[in-house]
Amino acid sequence: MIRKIIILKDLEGIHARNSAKVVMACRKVRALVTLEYGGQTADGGNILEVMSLGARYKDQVAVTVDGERETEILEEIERALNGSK
Amino acid sequence: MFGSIKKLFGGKDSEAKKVILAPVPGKVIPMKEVADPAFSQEILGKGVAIVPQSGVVVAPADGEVAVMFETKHAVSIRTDLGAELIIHIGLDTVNLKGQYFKSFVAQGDRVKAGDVLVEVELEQVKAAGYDVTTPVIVCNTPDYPNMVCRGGMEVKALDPIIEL
Repeated sequence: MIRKIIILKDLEGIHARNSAKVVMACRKVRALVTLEYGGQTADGGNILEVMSLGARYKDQVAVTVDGERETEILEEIERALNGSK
Repeated sequence: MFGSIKKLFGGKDSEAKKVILAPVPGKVIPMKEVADPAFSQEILGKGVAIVPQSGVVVAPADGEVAVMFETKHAVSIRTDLGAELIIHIGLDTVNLKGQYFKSFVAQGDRVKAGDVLVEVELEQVKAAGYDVTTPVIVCNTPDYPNMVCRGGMEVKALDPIIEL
């Protein structure tokens, strides 16, 4: 299991497109992915939960990946939350 | 005859409960025709998109507002029957940061089908260079293996667009 605090670099915070990328990353492998922000926990595979976090630019989101290809998945989530294409 | 009318209404009622209604009037297009891969590849889920003729966006079913984006360009409804919907008003409209959008509900609010969620100044959004196509997505698509997404027709607000 790995865990990392990611600082949101996407200027628009968490929105539909980057949450979709997070969900895609989570669905590629058998891993339990959770995102935590503001006392809420979201299942990384559930877009509604990810978007419901309401995290904004420069907020800190704790991401935990437990399962297959953890580092790769975490990096992919980080890229999504950084707003890179 | 009365019995058959009653049955007809009864049938319609139970059917209506499994249907997602149009949040805006306009032309319904298949999701794969949306000019944004996040939607057209159905990554967020299946559904349809509407090219809106009006900027009044209403609740497509009874439920609860699961997410109202600060930028008001997208709203998510968890319906009473368990469908998790996203109505995304226009493409890349997150970049407008709420300009031309006005919301009438907040996260956690109960809504009935037809309640106004958001009003958007469509002409202004178009003039700013954005595609106003509005995807209506069922995020928990795997829960509905028999989902029927209708496309190709003109709808009024609250006409059925998706059968779950």
